[in-house]
This record gives sequence, structure tokens and C-alpha cells, in this order.
Amino acid sequence: MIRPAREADAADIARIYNQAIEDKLFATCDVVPVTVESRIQWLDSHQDPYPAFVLEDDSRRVIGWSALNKFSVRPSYPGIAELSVYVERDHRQKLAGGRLFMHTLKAAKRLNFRSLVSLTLERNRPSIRGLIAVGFRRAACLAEVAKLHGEWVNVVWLQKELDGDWGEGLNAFMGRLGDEPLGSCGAAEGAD
Amino acid sequence: MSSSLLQVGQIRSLAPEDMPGVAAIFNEAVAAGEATIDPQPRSVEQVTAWLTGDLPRYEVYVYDVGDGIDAWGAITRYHEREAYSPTTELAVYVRRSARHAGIGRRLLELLLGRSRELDFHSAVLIIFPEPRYVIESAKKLGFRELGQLHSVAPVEGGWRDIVLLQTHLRREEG
Repeated sequence: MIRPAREADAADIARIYNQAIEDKLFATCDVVPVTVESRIQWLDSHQDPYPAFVLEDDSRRVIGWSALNKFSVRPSYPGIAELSVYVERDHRQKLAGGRLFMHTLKAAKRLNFRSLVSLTLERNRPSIRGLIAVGFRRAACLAEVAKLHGEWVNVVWLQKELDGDWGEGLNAFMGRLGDEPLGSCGAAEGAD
Repeated sequence: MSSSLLQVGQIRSLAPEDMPGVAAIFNEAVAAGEATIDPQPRSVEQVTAWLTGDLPRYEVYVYDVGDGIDAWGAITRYHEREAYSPTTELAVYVRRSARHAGIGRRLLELLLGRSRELDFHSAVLIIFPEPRYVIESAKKLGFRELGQLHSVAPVEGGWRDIVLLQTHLRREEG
């Protein structure tokens, strides 16, 4: 199930985030592992309208998390949020990411955001594919804008406006993943 | 602080006593819905913290017209994450009464030269699609227009698109 993250999740959130750093997935611009303490602070700042969620498996083990964040390049923009989704190493090829995506997009809609933005490293092709599948548009690509593990990296800005047919795009995406349609997502959502 | 097209000013480094003028020019742009960075006016203290908090890695220049300043330009932090530190975001603000005299372009040109000397790899501009001459002017100095975020910047009465431009100062081979 997916539920709001709480302070007790800080260690799981740090572990899953640090896996993305260790595995050099190019899924984050952080290069130094984050501490549990820093995640406690992070969770403290992730209250509505910038919530964080965790995904638990059947044995209630946290296997992924997601969040809405202030737009990092312009924190003064109230209408948009930056999306984060991270999944435990062994679950990356499964539905976990898609479920977190869907849940967080619904939350963004409920919180009245006008659009979601993701600043994704161009090398992180699975994420870009996933974002485009749920209706994100490639807005811009900054070349050699950051240096990571000694290499120049390009960063793609993607945007999804939340008015209009956002639900259809999600249904189509979840259909491709072989999951139930959008209607099944909510408080009573089952585990993978 | 009056100025005219005939008045000849000079560009020099920011001095502490410039801050009220810098803030006034910024807030004039905010009031006109021209600043992408913030929809709210900023106090002199806030502008000082924004522009001078990261000195000396970043630099600020003003266009001095003798009895005040008519414009300013800054090399600023693009993003808080360390991995982005080779990139800088440039900002140029010109008092409305002093526009169309090439001051903004001169400042931007200087900022690009200084960014290169400070060893930045690329520079970014985040501006509104209108007026178009600002984008054209940046392109003449080597910026490329990368794309837009739609309807994201809060301005009075609605939301505006923002345009992202970038230029590389030291592009490596390959």
C-alpha cells in the first residue's frame, strides 16, 4: 500500500535514495550518501502541499517513496511541484514506480498544482520513458549543465500540465503496465 | 537618479551603497511582471542576501550614471546542488527609463566574459517570452533557446511561460 511518509520512514527513505547514488543510476544529482538525520529534516519539510509517500510490500517493508517538492530552480513558484520517485533496487523493474507515480500525480491534482515538473538526467532513460508515458512533455534539455562522477551530464526538463485529460494518460500508462485502471488508486490501494 | 539616452554611465563592481538602487530596479521589474525569479518585491536586505551571499564565487556589476545606477547584472548560483556548480544563472535588470540604449546587452556581455574567467562551464538565462528583443539580444551573444515551461510563473492576473536559454563558455571536445 501507499501511505503518507512519517518520521519513522527516514531510514528506509535514505537507504533507497542512497541505492540510487551507489548504483550510479544517474537518477539524482547528489553524489554523497544522505544521512538518516537529513531525511528526518527532509520529511519535516514535506508536509502539504509538498507531501512524501512510501510504498510498502505485503510484509509492510518500505520498497519505494515519492514526493512533491518545491521547484528547485524557482522555489517561489506556487503553481508547480517537482516530482521525485525512487524505488528499492530489487523492485525497479516492477510496478512500484508506476504506482508511486500515479498516487503522487493524484495528490498533486488534489493539492491544486497547475503542473508537475521533473528535472531528469538525460542518461536516466527509464525515468524519461516513464514520465513521457504518463503524459509529460520534454520542455528543454540543458547540455553539460552538471558534473557527476567526473562526467558532464545533460538534464531534461519535463512538464505535465494537470488540467484536462491527465487521467486518460495515466490509465493508458497503467494499462501498458498491466495494472488496474486509475479508479483503483486511492486510500484502499493494495500492495504489489 | 534621472537619466537620458545622452547620459554616459560606466559599468563597475557593486558597492554596498548601491543596494537600495539595485533593489529599487528589481522591484520595478517585479511590479511590471517582468521578473521570473519572484513575484514578490524584495527588501534591500533580501536582495543583498540573494546577490552577495555567495561572493566571491559570484559577482555583481552596476551601471553607474553618476547620481545613482540605472542597471545591474549578476552572476548567480543556478542551483543549490553542488553537481550544478559549473553552471551559473545570469540576471540583468535595467531601469525602465533607461532601456533600449544597449545597457542590458553591455552588462550581459560583461557577465559572460567574467563567467568564462571565473571558469564556469555554461551560463543559463531564465526569462519571459516577451519582449522578444531580450531573447534576440541574448542569442546574438551566443545563447541558444532551449524551450519553455508553460504557464508556471505567477504574475498579477495569471501565469506566464518561462523560456530557458543556455550558452557554453568552455565546451570540451566531443
